Amino acid sequence: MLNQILLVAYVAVIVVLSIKLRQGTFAGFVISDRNVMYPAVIGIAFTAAYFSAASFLGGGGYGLIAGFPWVIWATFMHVGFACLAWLMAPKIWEMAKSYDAKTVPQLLERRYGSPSGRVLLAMIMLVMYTVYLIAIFKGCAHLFEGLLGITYIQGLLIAVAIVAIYYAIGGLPAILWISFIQGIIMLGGAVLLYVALLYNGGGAEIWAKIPANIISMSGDIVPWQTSVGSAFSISLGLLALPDLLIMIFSAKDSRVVRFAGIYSPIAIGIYALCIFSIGILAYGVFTAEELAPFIKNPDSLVPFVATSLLPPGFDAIILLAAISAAMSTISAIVLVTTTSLTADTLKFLRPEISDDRVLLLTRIVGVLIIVVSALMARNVPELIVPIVSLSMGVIACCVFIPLIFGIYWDRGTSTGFVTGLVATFVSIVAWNFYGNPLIHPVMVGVVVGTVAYLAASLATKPPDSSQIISVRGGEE
Amino acid sequence: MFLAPTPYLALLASIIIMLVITFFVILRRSDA
Repeated sequence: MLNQILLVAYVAVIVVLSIKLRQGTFAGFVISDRNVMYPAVIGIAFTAAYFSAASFLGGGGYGLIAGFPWVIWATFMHVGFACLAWLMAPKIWEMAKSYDAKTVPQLLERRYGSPSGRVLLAMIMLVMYTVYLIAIFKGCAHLFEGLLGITYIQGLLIAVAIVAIYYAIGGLPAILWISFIQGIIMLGGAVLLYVALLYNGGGAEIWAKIPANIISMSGDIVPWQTSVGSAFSISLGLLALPDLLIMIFSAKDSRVVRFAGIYSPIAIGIYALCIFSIGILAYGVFTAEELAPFIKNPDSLVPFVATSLLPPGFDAIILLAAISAAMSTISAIVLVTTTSLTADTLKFLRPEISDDRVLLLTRIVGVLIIVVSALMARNVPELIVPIVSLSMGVIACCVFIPLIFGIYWDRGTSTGFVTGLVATFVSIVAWNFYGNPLIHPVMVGVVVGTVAYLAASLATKPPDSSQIISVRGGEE
Repeated sequence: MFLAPTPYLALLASIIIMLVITFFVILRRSDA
C-alpha cells in the first residue's frame, strides 16, 4: 500500500509540473527558449539524464563480476570526463547561441556548412538511441514489477504513460525540472545504499572481508582491459551525448552554465562512487552462497541489497530512485531522437515546413517512439551493460570528434566532418564483430574517427573563415 | 590505521583533486 501511495505522489508531482511548464513554441519545447536561470537545475538534470537504470542496476551489480578494475576506472573516468565536460560547456553554449542551433546535428551543420552531415548524424542518433531506449524501458518495467507487484507488461505500460505525458506536454522545460527532482531522489538512493553496505559491513572493516581476487586490479572473471574499455565508452557520453548537450543549450547565459559546472561534477562524483562500489562492497556483507545467483544476473543485486539491508519502506525509495534514473534518461533521449527525425531530417527534406507543424510532429513522433521502443522491449537480451556501452559510445564518439575540433580548430571542413562520422561508425561496428575483444570498439572509433577527420580536413580546401563564428577568447 | 585498499584511497584522492582543479578554473573565469 505504501508503495502505491509513494508512486501516486510521484506521478502527481510529474503531472503538475508538466502542466505548469507546458510549451507552445518549438524553441520553448526543444531548448526552453534558452531561458533556464538555475545552475543547480541544469547541473543535476544533466546528471540524472546521463545516469540511467543501466547505471543504477547494471553499473551497481557489475562490480560483483568485474571487481576492483571496474569500480576504480568507472568512477575515475566519470568524474574526469564530467569535469572536462563542464570546463568546455560555456564554449559549447556560446557556440550554440551564436549559430542559433536548437539541436546538436543543427549546430554541427552550421559550424561545418554541411546539411548532409547533419542528416547522417541524425540517422545514426535515431538508430542507436532507439537501441538504448529499448534497454532502459526493459529495466524500468522490471522496476515497476518489483515496486507494485504487477506483471512486466503492466510495468511497461505505466512507464510509457508517465514519460509520454510529461514529454508531450512540457518538452525540455518539464524534462529539466522533473529530472532535477529525479536526480535528487537518485542521489539519495545511491548514498543510502552505500551507507547501508558500509554500516552492515562494519565500517572500514568491510574491506578485510572482501576476497583478494575481487580487490585485485588485474580483474578476476572479467579482464581489467574489458572494464577499462566499458568505463571509457560509457563515460565518454558525458562529453558529447546530444541529450545532455541540449541541457547546456537551454541555459539563459554563460554564468548559469559556468555554475552548473559546480553542481554537476559533485553530483556525478557522489553518485558514481556510491553506485559503482556496490558490487564489491556486497562481498563484505553477504556470503558467497547468498551472492551466487547474482553472478549470473548482476542486474538484480541492487534490489536485493535494498530489500535485505534497508528497513521496510526504504526499499521502495531505492526502486523509485532506479525508476527515476530510467525515466530521466528516457525522456531526454526521446526528445533528441525525435528532433533528429523531425527538425533535422524532415526539415532538410522539406525546408518550407513551419515551426508550428514541426512542433506538433515532435510531440506526436516522440510519443510514437516511446510506444515503439516499449513494444520492442517486450523481448530483449538479459544483461544491460554491453548494449548500453556500445550504442551510447557510438553516438558520443560521432559527436565528440566534430564538436571538439569544431570549437578549438578552425581548419576542420565539412568533408572532414562527414568522413569522420562514417569512419567512426564503420570502425566501431566492424571492431565489435571482428576485432580483439579486449580492446573496446569505442576506443578504436575515437582513434580512427579522429584520424579520418583530420586527414580529410587537411586534404580539402580550408573553410571560408567568415562562416566560422569564433567562440574562443573572452576568458584569457 | 587501515582505511581502505590503496587503489580506492587513490581514487578518492584523485576525485578530490579533479574537482578542486575544475572549481578553481570555473570560479576564476569571468563571463564573456
